Amino acid sequence: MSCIKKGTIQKYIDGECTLSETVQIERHLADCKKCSVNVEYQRKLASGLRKALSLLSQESKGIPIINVPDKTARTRLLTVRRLAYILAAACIILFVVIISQKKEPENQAEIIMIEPGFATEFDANQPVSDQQMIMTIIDSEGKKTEYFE
Amino acid sequence: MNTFEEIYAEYYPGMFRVAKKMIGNPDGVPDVLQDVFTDFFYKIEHGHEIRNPKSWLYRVTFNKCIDNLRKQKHFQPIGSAEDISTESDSAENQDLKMAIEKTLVKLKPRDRMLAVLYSEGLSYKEMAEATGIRLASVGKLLSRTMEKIEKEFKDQGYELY
Repeated sequence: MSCIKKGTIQKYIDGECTLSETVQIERHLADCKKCSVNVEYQRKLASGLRKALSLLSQESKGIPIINVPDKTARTRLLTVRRLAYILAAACIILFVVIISQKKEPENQAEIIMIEPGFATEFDANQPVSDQQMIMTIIDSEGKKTEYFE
Repeated sequence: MNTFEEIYAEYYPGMFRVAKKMIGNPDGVPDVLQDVFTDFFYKIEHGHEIRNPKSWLYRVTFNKCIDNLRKQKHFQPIGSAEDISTESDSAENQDLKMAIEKTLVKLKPRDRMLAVLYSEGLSYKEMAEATGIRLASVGKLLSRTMEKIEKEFKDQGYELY
């Protein structure tokens, strides 16, 4: 067996190796002085780290009462937020409607019907582009306007 | 399964120590833990199954501590290890505490959390779940972290052991 890696030594020190891994490592350590020194070094490091960090340990001054918001408060908050979104959306829609109405020219008569057709009888043997088209527009007052092409 | 109150009472002290070592500032710790337990409460309320509450709580504590550290960057620190030292602390102990805090600050958050969880005696499986590290890599990363801490300690004129 080749020399033991540092990560494996750490696992061994912390008792995280499987039984077969532990047996292999201990067999190797019996013959390899270098690895035995490394194990001892890492053991001291681990113990030193625990000792050093324990100096920073500060216990909490009792366990405070947890303030978990109750369900009704949360639901109320969600409802208020939802209402705010709906109101904002309604305002935007209203604004768009008002703007679009203003853009429409006031003097233009409302078109209520468009009738496309041909000025002469339609000849299926002729190309459509050669035949004159007529577009009849009827406005709200019943006035007919014809456009030729 | 334990109730929320039982889990809260069981894990709060350990999580307090971990969060304190992670963020340094003891005043910020209760807020971090309040957030963690509120999230935990809602998870349970919405029927989510948490198989290992201990690992889950430490992982969320880790994430919240990182958020807290990011926020702290925007503020001028007004306290240090001296704040937590008591009158009974010797001058040597106070210096040592400052050296440890300086060392921890220089580590990456993941390495710092690993060292802190190790000092709290968590198993490799729990450490892996809390930090998102692969279980097979915990030993390797731990030994590297310890070497970094030892080197940093030496640079400040201290010995880790």
